[in-house]
Amino acid sequence: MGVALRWPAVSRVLLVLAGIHVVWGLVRLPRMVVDRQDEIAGYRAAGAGVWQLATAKLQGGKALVWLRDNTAPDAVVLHEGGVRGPIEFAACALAPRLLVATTACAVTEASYAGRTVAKGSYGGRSGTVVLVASETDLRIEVR
Amino acid sequence: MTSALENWLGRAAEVALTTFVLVGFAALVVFLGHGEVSTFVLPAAIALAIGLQWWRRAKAPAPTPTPTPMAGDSLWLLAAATLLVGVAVLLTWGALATASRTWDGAAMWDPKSALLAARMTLEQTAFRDAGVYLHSRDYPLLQPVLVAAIERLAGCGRVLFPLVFVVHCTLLFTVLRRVGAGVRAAAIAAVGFALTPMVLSPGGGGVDSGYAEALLSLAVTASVSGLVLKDRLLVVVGIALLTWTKPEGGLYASVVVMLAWLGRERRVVLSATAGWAIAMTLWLVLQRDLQSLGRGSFAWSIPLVVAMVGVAVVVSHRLLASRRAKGITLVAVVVVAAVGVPFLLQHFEVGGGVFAGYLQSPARLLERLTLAPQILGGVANWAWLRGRFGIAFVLVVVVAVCARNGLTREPLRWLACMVVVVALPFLLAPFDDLASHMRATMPRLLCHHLGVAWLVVGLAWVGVPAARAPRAAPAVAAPSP
Repeated sequence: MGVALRWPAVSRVLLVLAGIHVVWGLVRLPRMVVDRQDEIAGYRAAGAGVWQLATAKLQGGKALVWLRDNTAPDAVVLHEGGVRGPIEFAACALAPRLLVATTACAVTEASYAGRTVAKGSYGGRSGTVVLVASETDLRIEVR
Repeated sequence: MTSALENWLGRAAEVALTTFVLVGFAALVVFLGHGEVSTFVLPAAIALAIGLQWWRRAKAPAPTPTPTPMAGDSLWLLAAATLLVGVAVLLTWGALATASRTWDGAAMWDPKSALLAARMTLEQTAFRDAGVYLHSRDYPLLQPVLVAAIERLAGCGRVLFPLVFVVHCTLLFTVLRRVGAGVRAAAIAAVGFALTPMVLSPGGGGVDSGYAEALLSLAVTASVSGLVLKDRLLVVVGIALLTWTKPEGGLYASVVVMLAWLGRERRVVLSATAGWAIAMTLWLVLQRDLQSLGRGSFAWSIPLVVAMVGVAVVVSHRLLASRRAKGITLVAVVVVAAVGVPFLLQHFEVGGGVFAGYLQSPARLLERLTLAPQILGGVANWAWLRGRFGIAFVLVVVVAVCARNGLTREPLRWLACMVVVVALPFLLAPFDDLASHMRATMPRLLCHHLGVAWLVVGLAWVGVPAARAPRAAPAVAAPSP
């Protein structure tokens, strides 16, 4: 074990290349700090979910903000539509609320799994709040 | 002083790895029993891991790292440690400042961590009700379990991410020292890994992004280090971490067993196979439980088939040692694996399992073979140019072509296997646009093997006369007790 390099000069080449890699990493360090600072500030300003939607160029941040502001933390929020795209961020943005599909819980139900189904007034209508998802957008409907 | 510090660092890294596995093991067993994991699982696992380490060292004292540190090495060690601590502080800030800020972390891992931090049990609506939205319900749970365990005990669960980074760097350094790399060579390899842009990047796959890539990468490095050192604890711990962290980890764990099987160390093969069998059985049974929402019966076929595979591995390894049976054994194993692995993967999935999408039309593999050059070109492109890996994978090529030695054999075999494994999803996955699929997935898949790349670089310096290398001299790897 421990046979020497085939061409000993390669050892020095490796050392030089590794040195370049390390120096390049060091040079980039300040940028990593600034990038993080910007990201953290942006996230804190926009809030969970909204930030991810904005950076992924997806719509629906306003719906998430409205739901966070107008539903109880232990509520069930009904959703329908796609399960890929912006809806993927809704579970984390709305936690500890649970997202439940309208196929599992009808909009007429008052509660689900011991939790109250979210109701409210939006766009001039009152009733059960449903988060409708498409591949690029989230919107609120009241039924 | 330096030697004592190095021994201490090596032990600390092993204690951390063992703790991760013990917490995961306890959680998986309790989840299978439909119970709730105690808040004290973490301190209990730490105590047990320290006890195990003490027993290990009492049985076979830690060898003094060779070559013996020389004058000036302390300064190198201090400089490297200062740099790594600085980077770890940056990553800790990034991890704790907010929840996950990028896709997989926010969509997939954080919700599960939050649910388990509130109640460390799967017996809750989100896991047991198909009507509740939970992204990738049947994904491995080790990372959310570890985050939740720390969160419940100390209120800072996301400190796991910088901790994983620190353990990874420490492991690289101490493993290289154990096989005889000089302090400077080992320090350069550890710092080279730590300063790779992909590791430091705040984006997806970076240490503090909340993705599971950092933990999986650590598991890969631990497994391959175990193969290099013939250290059975590292191999077993690595295999368990691989299997319980991400779906592709199960495939990686199988490759670890395969590489052990190709080696001559019977004890390593036995340990790797036993570890693989236990880790796989636990995870596959729990995965089926998650898929059936806790309502399925115990799938006896899983431990049965896994045990059969394990026995076949051990028996065929004995045959492999025989010169007369070697050829036929290799052919038989390749044929059985080519037919059996896809069958087993399909058999263990219930409809919408993780691999189901890849395996639902195996004929796709043949249709896409014409894309193979494009996909392999993509692997090279992302590894060398676009993947934010600096020149880590370029250095691997330099070593493979010009500077192989006995120690680099296992890691280079690993990386060669991984070229195929990394390309495989692109030959099987249901997608329309190869370029965008590669852009989204390739950097993360390659990131898993970054630690091994730096291990290869460090190992290449072992055995080089001190005048030509950063302080290295011939040495013998210390076998595990």
